[in-house]
Amino acid sequence: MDPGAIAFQLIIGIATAMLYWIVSSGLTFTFGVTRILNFAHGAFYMLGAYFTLTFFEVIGNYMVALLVGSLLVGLIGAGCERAFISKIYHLPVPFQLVLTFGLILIFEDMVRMVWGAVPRMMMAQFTGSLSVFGRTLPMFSIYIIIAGVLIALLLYYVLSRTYWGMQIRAITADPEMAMCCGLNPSFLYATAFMFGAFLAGLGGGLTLPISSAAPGMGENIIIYAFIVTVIGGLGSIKGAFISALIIGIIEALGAFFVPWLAIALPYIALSAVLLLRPEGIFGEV
Amino acid sequence: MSEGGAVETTVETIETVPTMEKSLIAVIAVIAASLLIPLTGNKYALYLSTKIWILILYAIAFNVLFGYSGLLSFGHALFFSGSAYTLAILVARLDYPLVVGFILGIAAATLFSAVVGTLSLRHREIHFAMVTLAFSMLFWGIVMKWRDVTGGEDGITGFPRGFSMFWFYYFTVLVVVICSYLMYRFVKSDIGLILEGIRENETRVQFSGHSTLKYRLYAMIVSGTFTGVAGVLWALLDRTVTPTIAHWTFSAIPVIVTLLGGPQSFIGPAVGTIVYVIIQDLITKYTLYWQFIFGVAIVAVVLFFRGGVVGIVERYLRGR
Amino acid sequence: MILETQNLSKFFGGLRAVDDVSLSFEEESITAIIGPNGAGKTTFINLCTGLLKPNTGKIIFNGEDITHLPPHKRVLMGISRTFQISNIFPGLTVAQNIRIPLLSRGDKALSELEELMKVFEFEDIKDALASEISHGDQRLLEMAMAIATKPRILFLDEPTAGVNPAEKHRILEIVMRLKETEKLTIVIVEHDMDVVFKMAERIVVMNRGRILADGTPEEIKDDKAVREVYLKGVEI
Repeated sequence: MDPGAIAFQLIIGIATAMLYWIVSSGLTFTFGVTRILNFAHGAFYMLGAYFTLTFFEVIGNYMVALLVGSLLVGLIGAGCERAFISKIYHLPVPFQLVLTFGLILIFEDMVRMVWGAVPRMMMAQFTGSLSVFGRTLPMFSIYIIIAGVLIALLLYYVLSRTYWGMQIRAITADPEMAMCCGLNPSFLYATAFMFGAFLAGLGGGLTLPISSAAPGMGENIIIYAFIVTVIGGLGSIKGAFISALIIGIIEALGAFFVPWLAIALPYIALSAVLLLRPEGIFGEV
Repeated sequence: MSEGGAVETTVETIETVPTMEKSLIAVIAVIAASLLIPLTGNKYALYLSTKIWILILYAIAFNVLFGYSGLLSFGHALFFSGSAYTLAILVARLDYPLVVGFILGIAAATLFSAVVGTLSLRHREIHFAMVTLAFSMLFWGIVMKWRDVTGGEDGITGFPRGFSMFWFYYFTVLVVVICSYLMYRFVKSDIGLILEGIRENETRVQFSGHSTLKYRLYAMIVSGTFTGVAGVLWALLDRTVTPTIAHWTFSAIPVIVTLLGGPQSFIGPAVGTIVYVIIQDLITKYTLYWQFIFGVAIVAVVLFFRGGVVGIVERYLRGR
Repeated sequence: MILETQNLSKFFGGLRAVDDVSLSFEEESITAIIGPNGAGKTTFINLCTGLLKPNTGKIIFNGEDITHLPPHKRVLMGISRTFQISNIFPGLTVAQNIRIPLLSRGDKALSELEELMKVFEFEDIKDALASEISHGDQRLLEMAMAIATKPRILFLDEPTAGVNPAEKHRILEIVMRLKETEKLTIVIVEHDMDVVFKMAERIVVMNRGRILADGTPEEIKDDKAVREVYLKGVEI
């Protein structure tokens, strides 16, 4: 067994994990605050990719385009919360899931109307590569790992150091108590949704250097985001980070050792966790 | 989402006797009228109505789990495609007779639902939806990757239907009506009552001395098996199976049509299916963007018409 | 001794909701558990009936260790309960509500439906939705559902909370009647001291998860510690 090869696979696995993490972080964050599991998170991810692509074509700077694009997705997220999601907090779960599913259909077709049904590729970014353990590692892997860590730090900072973050934690822990203390739930839910959508948009924009923007792109990533958040424990941000790492690394090592089983590995991990700890690694109930 | 306590249901539960009689007459009339469709000689109408019948079975089977037991599965595509692929592989790849493929296809759906049911027993609401979704996507992944057996993205073709389209229509109607009747008997039995109890208040069912896990598994297996029947019929209709029917978006169809029609009545999902297929067919004639219009319809149903079509009609019949 | 707990404890984080409680209940006795809010009364019932798992300790029913049995198995053995907040099937009819627990004892038990309807005076409302009957009837319905499983011991968690005086009287009358006809052992959590001192043969006072006092109503009335934490200001 070549230790270099395994170490290399580990890096690839961590890079995959970071992508899963970025998408899941917003999903699990919004769920934690609003108790709504947002299928449309995948649509926000898709919108992030398209907005970044378009802004890049206008501005020419990827980083700026990414930021502006994701912020715009955030605003759309807040708009959705005000217009639709805020009307369904009291409804049974099936209605909530189906409404957000309806939003996916709407957004996907809107994307088709604006950008067409054909996948769109961005001009190459981060094309270089590094030599690691005698193998070529695409620069993209390094960049996505950095982005993932930065987003983890950002979340940590926002939630533990800002006034907004403290309010969010308060309303997550005990909504009634928080309202008694004079917090404004409408404002907090809307901004929480905005922040979650912003993170989804970032995820979509960040994948542009290696994959094209396409109308169905959100439908597949959302499944991985669901697996990651359920394993981590719905609503747990720490859990999402760790379970994304687990899934990413399992996948990468699986592809190396048991390639024929690789596709099933995340699901096997999911079944194992659900059987042993139905509430997820860091979940409560 | 209060746990245990008296949960307020948003939709009316009990079908009153007069509306039940009326709906029975309506159902018989619709079935009788639909028997005339093949005689018109319109091939497209024949194809579309066969498809509607199959999707009706899919939706009613789904609703045994959802409407009666309160369990939202987002992975019914697994049972649907599981049976369809089993039939296709057995008949097209391994040269088994069609009848064997038909029966073993349904058996595969039973098996899958027993396995998924067991693995998801302790989960409810969102978790249950996620777990069923995940397992169905596992199957989708296998279908996409295991090209030698499943044909990957292209799927499997090259097996017979066993009937002409004309007779296949009558065969489908017969199978769907029989299966629906059996499911109707199931949900109106004492087991069905206990399942309704689970939907209303799972804790109280446990404290009534029943293992809710056992009954949930029953519901899952019945629902999965009849979904499998719809799956094999679907495979025969097109004489093709493709991964589309394994993808999670195919699991969303019964969810949508059930909410569209009304989950709290037995025929609600059937009504929703008819509305869904016909509207989809009409919309696609005029615009590419039928998904958009459906999205808007779904959002509107959730926000304004939570009783579904049947709920609206019932309210109208009762004059309120 | 029909039911016995040995050093039973349940912790929620750092909170000791039930702390080393050993209690036993005589057959066909009627015991009231009282104590201030948060004393651990409901948690104690939840442990005995299987809604919660204890951290330490044992529960013995009829000589059998049932500590790790799920609720439905305990129900089938003869342990039944009602909840603090009416716990019924709101979307089903009164008759269907009672049918479900009867079914747990097999189809034969269904013949008892009529009798239960009569005892609980439900004949006129048997086809009404449970969500549409009065609050007092809902409390009685829950009790009827508990009785339908043919329990030997019945835990009642504040059976008269939130009902008007007339309905309260009716509920208590039915409880006392059932105790005789069904040969029930009853454990009742109740805040109404009138009810407690009228009904109970024995009173257990809990405070902060522990047993503060345990005795006949007369003994409890005279207990200094009890007066201090609980009966202060309450006229007896």
